[in-house]
Amino acid sequence: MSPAMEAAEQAEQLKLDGNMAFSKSRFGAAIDAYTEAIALCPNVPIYWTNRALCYRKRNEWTKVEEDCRKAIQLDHHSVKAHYMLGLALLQKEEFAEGVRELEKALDLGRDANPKSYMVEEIWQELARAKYLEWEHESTKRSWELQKLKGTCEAALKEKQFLDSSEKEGFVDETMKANADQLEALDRVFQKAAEDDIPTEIPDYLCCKITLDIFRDPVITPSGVTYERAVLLEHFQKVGKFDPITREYLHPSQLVPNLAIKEAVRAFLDKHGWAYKID
Amino acid sequence: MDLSRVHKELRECNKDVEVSGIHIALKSDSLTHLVGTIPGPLGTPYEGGTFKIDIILTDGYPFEPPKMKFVTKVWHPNISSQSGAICLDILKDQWSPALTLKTALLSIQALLSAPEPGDPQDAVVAQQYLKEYPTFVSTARYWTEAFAKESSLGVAEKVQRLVEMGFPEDLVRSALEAAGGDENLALEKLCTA
Repeated sequence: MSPAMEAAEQAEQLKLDGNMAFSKSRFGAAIDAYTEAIALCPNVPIYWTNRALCYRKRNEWTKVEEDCRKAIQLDHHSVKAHYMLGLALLQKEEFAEGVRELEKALDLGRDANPKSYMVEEIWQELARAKYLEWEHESTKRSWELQKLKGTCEAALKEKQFLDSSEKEGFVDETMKANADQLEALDRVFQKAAEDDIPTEIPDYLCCKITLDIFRDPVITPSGVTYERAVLLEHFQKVGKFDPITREYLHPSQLVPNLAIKEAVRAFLDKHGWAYKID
Repeated sequence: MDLSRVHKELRECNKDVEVSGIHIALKSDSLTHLVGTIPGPLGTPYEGGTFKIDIILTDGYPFEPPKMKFVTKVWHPNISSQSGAICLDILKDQWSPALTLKTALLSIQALLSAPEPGDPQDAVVAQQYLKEYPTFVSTARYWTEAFAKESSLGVAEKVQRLVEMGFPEDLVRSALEAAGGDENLALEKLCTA
């Protein structure tokens, strides 16, 4: 056996040792094992992502970031590396970067297996991050609007007062006009605040099975759009038919519905509250 | 089970109870045991009645149909007059996850309007429906009066009679409800309790 093959075999054994330690929550021992494996074979991305997972458990986020970046260098398609890098960046409050990594992980994860628990977990983290961002931003927006509204009202009243002292008579009409103006101002500000008020998500952006906003919409030959993961579960557990039209349907006939996906994205960008998970 | 979906279903269904008359309530703290309410369809012997349906959701929901049966006693060829079991294809092999609790209850309401005696659940009722239709109609109407109307004289009188026998009123009411309005069954329950 060549020395390189020997090293590879040894490293694999160390990985198994690490996995065993990890499963017993002995993260220090697991990190040691993976570190040795990396020293022997630094080009295997799994050794890096496994070690990153241990660091994640210990909340050592800088190290998570380092290991994940290394793993991504070795394998651009590593779902776990992009996912944990995203989490690490969110921890550092590098919001936009973190979200981008999570979205990347989500796309890669869906390509590999749209029904996997990883995909669901990544979505939850992504939705939570987006919701928190919305909460933060909308509070700021609402506060700014409130302040601006107060200022505008005061200025308008001041102007109305000045106007009325110049003119004489027609008191009733002037008062009515003034009240109308104030009411109109109120409406303008209400309109401006509308997008940030949680309401109903339109039905056409929701799957008929999950009743929730689409994440990965696919369209069937009948023209109905469903959430991909849940439709695959339906094939497995119920039968190979379109749940609404009951026409025969084979998984290979599903086509991503990109238009709905775009519409969902546009809606969520405008109404971040819809990221809230029950 | 998809809890988030069940939450949404309840919210959606109960939002337009004014229009549909269909209501779903929790039976306990968990979302697995529910009670649906449907009004008897107009122009049928069930008109004016309010029918309660016991709903059990399994872990597989919405990929498995909800288990539904009548709590209120009802005289109908496709519903057991004894157990309340319902013979309806969408609650069995014709279920689809695109259906909801509300659409299932609407289908049951439609079944009340349009019995299918060719595929009976209760053979006695089905025979009567086919051979003595007028008797069927009057029996079904009588059962609606007796069991599906809370405000009807029936219940008030039954409660009063049982209370006069010396049982506390709240126990009487819950026993009557559990017995689907059947006074004798309620008395049995009260005596053995």
